[in-house]
Amino acid sequence: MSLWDRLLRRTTRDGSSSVAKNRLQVVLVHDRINLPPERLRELKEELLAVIARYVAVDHDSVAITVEQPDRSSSRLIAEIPFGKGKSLLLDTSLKDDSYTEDDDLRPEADRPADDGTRPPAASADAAQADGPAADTPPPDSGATAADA
Amino acid sequence: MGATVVTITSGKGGVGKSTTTANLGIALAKLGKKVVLIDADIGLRNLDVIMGLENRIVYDLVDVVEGRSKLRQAMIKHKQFPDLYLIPAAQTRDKTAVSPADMIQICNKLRDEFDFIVIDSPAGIERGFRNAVAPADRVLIVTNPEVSAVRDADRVIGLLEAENKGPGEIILNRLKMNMVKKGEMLSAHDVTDILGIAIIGIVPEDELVIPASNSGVPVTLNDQSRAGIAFNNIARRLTGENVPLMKLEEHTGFFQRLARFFGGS
Ligand SMILES: Nc1ncnc2c1ncn2[C@@H]1O[C@H](COP(=O)(O)OP(=O)(O)OP(=O)(O)O)[C@@H](O)[C@H]1O
Ligand SMILES: [Mg+2]
Repeated sequence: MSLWDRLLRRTTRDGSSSVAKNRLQVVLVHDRINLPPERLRELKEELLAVIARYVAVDHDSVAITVEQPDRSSSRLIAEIPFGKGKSLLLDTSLKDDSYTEDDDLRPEADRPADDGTRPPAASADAAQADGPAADTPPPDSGATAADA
Repeated sequence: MGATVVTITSGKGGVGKSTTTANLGIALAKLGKKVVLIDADIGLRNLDVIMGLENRIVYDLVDVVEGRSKLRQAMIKHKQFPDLYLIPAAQTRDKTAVSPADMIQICNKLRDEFDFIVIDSPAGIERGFRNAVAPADRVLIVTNPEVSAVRDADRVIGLLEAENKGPGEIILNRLKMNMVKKGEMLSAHDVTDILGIAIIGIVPEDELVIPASNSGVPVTLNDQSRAGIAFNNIARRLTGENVPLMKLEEHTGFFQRLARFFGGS
């Protein structure tokens, strides 16, 4: 072994201690909020289902996590991007309510791009979610967020 | 000046609470402090044998609580340190024989006369734990660098916070530096990182600990013992002295390795 190998050896630890640390960190997140992993998974699913009743959700980019900056404060962080579902794009309220000059052109320009980038899986999910969402037009902020 | 009540607890059993209590007692006495140790592990008396005082017991903690003995009569004086006493646990009773209020009352009677009252808590988070923690001014949570012990320590820290006794300080016991270096054991840094509270001492795994309890002479009385040095350091920290953590836990950063490589150590 060269001098450099010996000096640089073990700059990263890959023994079982890092496994122990990771497992502990996960298990303690659940212990501290008194919510076992399986229940947290159910919570996420239910939360998502409720939101999807109102708006199209980009299911592939959803991130719901428990954040624990220190041992006495835990919080649920949900990042739920709106999906770019068909009903959103066809929704006339989108055009009506966002009215800078450029906006007359923007939805036109966005449409093909949206359809192109939307993954098939998300499209299926969005279609499902569109049913109820169509009854209640999505709020403007929703449309903006979807574009953002 | 009143005594500081220090409770030694852990959650998980067998991590070294009684060993720690006995050794901190000796170490504080060596510093000239007046110390009384209370074995709160009722039904599983242990501290007496670790201290080598088992043949001197007449009365125990439950006798005091139930009025069969005066507090003084249940206090066994250490052979070598006349200012070190032990109040043993009852061996044939269970934890419900004592209440948290009893423990507070007993400690209050002792506070004027002593510098430190060190309480050896039983394992678990039930009545015995609550008894031991009730009178505490400081709580030291003993844990081992191992998943289940750290998890239980976290649970105890949570309970302490809920009872406004928290967060407590960690004693990391039985650390094997050679395993930490190989990445096969959690380091002190890992443990404090995970638990998010301060560490008051790191006690290495030491083959001298078991012979010491075999003979009833705590390892702190053996100058050769690394665990003994660690316990002496913790005692000094308890008295308010600023003693840096033992070198066995240093981070093996590049420059340390460089220094070691050329220093040949
Ligand atoms: N630093 C150490 N090095 C080697 N052995 C140790 C060390 N600390 C404790 N031990 C050994 O570990 C065993 C358990 O220790 P101890 O009885 O102090 O634990 P405890 O937490 O009081 O247990 P319990 O929960 O049953 O009361 C004993 O055999 C003891 O000698
Ligand atoms: Mg014990």
